[in-house]
Amino acid sequence: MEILQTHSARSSNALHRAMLKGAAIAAAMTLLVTGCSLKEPVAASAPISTGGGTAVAGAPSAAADPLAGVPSLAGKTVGIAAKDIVHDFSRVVYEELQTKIKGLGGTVIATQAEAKDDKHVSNVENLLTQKPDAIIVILGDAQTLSPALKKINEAGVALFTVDFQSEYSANNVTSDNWNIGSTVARTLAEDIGGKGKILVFNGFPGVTPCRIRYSELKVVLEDYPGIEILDPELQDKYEGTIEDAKKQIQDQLRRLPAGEVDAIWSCWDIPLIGAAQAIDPTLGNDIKLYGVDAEPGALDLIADPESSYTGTVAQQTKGMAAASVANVALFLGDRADEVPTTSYLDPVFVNKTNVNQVRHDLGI
Amino acid sequence: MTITQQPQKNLPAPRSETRELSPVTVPRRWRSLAPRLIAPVALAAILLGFSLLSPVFLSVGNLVGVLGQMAILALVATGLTVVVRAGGIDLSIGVAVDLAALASAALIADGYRAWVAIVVGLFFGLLVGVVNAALIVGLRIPPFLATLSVWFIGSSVQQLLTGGGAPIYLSKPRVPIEFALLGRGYLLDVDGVIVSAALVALFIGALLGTTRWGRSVTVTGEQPTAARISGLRINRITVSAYLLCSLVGGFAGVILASRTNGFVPGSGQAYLMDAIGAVFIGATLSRFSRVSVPGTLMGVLIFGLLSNGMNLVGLSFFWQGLGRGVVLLAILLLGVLLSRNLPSGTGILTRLFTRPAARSTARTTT
Amino acid sequence: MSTAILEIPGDTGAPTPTRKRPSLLAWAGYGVVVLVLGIFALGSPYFLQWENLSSVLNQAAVFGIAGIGLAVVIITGGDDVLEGGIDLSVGATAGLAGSVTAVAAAAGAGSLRAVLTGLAVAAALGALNGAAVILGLRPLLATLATMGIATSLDLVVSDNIKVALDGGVFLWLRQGSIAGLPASVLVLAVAALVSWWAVARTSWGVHSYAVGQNSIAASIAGLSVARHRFMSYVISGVLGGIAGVLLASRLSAAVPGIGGQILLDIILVAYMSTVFSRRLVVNIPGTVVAAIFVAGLANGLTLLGVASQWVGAAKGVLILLVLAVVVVRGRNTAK
Repeated sequence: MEILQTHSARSSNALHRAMLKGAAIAAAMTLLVTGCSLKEPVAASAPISTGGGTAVAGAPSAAADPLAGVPSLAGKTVGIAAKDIVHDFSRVVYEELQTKIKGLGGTVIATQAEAKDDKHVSNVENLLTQKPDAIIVILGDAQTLSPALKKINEAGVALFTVDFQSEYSANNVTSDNWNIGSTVARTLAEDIGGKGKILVFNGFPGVTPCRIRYSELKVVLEDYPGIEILDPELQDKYEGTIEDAKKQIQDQLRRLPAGEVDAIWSCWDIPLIGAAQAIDPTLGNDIKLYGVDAEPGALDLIADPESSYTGTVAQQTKGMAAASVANVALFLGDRADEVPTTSYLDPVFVNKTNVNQVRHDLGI
Repeated sequence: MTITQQPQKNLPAPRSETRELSPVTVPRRWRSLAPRLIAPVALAAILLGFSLLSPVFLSVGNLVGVLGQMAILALVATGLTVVVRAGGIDLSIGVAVDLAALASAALIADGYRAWVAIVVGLFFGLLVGVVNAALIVGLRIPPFLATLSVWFIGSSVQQLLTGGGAPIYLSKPRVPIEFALLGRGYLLDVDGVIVSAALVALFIGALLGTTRWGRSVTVTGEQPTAARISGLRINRITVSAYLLCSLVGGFAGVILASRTNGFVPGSGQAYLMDAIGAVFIGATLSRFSRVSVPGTLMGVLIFGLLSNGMNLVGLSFFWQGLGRGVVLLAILLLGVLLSRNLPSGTGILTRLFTRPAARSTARTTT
Repeated sequence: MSTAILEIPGDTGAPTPTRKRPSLLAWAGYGVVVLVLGIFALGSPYFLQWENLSSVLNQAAVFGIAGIGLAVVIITGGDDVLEGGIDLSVGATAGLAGSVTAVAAAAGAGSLRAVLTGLAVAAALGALNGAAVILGLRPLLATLATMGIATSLDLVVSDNIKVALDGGVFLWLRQGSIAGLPASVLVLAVAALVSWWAVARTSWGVHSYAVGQNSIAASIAGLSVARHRFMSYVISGVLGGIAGVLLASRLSAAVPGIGGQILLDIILVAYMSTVFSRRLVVNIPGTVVAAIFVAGLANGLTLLGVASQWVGAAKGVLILLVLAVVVVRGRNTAK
């Protein structure tokens, strides 16, 4: 009972009574079926960000459809091995690849490794034993994957990669992480006036894009001697990221003298969402947050003028998936000479001024 | 809700018997205070140590902040305490947290009222408990394996429900104020989650410590055979323990959703290991190595202050795990060594092997 | 196999009514496994191809070896989860051993010395566990603490960066083979045979079961409970270390933090072994079978084209199915 009272204090009286009758669940379920009266009355503003699965449709405006005129994939089997589908980038690519391949009449076998390195290798091996016509690997790390990728080559199966440079890959689709890394770092440095102290979530050194972005940060900061990365660097976690990052930042803010931190950097958005939640309620902290990936939650915060979240980078995830599928189709359709080694899709740098425009343009 | 009513009905347990049963497990002569003081002393040492190393550590702002950071772990660990007290374990409590957070975040995102999101969230948490109870009591699958399987299934269900693991983000204007208050409200300058966690802990603590149901749970956990002989309905008690555990987990999940303003898959399981640690640190407070809510909270406090202190000192996360592990080992080893130095000579070894044996004998007579 | 011999001292405290059980159901665990694998074989022509099978075995090796270590701990400590034997640090130990080996190899130590260093660290962690447990700590807690320590040391040693581990022995472990059997499978086979022999055919093994099932009776019978328990954790540490070196070789790098990723499957494999024993006790051959089954499950589901989101659920449900079948066989303890 007391559990219920703790929040009944904050919820409506009707709720309180219903619960006390002990029929809350039944009531809720019935009402759920009957519908709208359970919903908050909402102003007509467009719903945003309930996660990518239900994201508003809308194709990248600029690019022409890369799939126009490519050979059909009918009768072809394509395996997909994603390192994880925890964050927006890999999940959207993962799903869009499947949609596009099926759209061209191909068969898909999709696997994802829950961010586990050994599972990623096992998945690639398991895909290979089925002798698909092509395998697409989303993210990964040359160090651990190369032996398995070499086997793919030796078995005569075509290998394609997304955001993962590998010597065995026929084509890698990427938005150029060197560009992303250096531009974010440069923006950060310029925004804080070329001097100050920053906190850094030390990414996942094992994840290639994160490693590149971090190295680029270091390279850029070489020319900004006034900017110092505070010690220690902070931990990134795959599980409970937001809450964990929030705790770490709360603690760091107490540890460091007020006004010490000028910016926080991370190679992806999710920890910074936690960081923003730690910083925004406090007063007098002028801290700017920079991430990558354009998670819907991060875009919401950037769009909020009161939030410390300053910038992120949107990648054309759907476009990247389409480009990759187009390359697979060309390659398997005996037009391999049309497949470039690397397909670059320009990243879009999001800041507080262009955020709404970018969301509109990219449909995110 | 139904759970809380059960104990009143089905408790024919003779009171005197429950009292006598427990002390049999561990002989009286080791009823020394020293080993039981380890956790409090460790807590004091942590407070003292970090207050010397960091000027802000003992500030009111920081301590209150830490309490807020610990609230969810405290809830999860409190739920786990109930199940462990009943002689089981629930590795799937993180799933209850996650599913509850998922359900309530999804409903809020979909525009439902706060109370609907909260009730359905709790219901999803409870659902995990129902499955656990069915497996453990109905099918008699050992709790460890049953809840481990539910963990696997639960992570999968999360992925399926979120279209492959998409986080749910709640944008500011769409979150009803009641829901936001649940995780981010303040009551007279105290973080609301601290109040919620404290009330739940108080409630569960009272339930376990003072009610007949609590005693039945204890007897069921410690002397299942005796409990059965004395006419306790073990099955019902076990079921209620698992349900209560998941309900508390679900409540933690709803708060998590409100606090993080959304849902990230796999958030709940991150609390499991710390919760287990906290529960068993708490057991050192008891003469009978019995887990209890106050003990669990002490364990949570130790973990929370330790990690806060290490952050304040600026220790790299490389070394933080080492720090936690060493403190945990030190606390427990000291407890053991102190009880060894008691007059009773061979104490420690006998004590070590007395405990499991008590269970073996109990089983033989089944 | 092991069971017949083990009846002698171990049975004093064992509650299971062995004779009443119908002999047919005794094989139920295996039955479900064969059924599931049969469905995979029918559903996908690739499943039974040697290439695929050897890849499944290869994937099972790491979990099998570490699982054997854990099984020894559970056998010797009793299978009560709260009070009995458990080694939560086995995953982290494997990760640390891999990192230490890789760092040592990178620092120019020979392959053999690098591996020995890694295994020595693993054994030391096992000894720490063992010492803590015989001093009277709950294994669950002691190993939870060492898990944190090992994870942390892993970060420190590797600097949170993947450390390459390639060439020589490690290359052979990854892709070498003898008579068509992948090297890692051979390591698994050797580890399994040696442990099975030690547990089932030596007095040490018989005593371990005795200690695990009724420590009082065992100590009355003159067995050194403490020594057996201590040894079981050292063995678990060493086997965890071997698994870690194997895993790092397989990935051609030591991956920091990988210990936490593999722990759950190791625990699963060791506990599932009960299903493959007539007396429903944790055992070595069962652990190996369970490791192969779990690897085969993920592989088979992928071959059938089941979306990966379903694999976890399918894994859980099938494991429950196997367990439920076993329960029908009549486990009737108080728990």
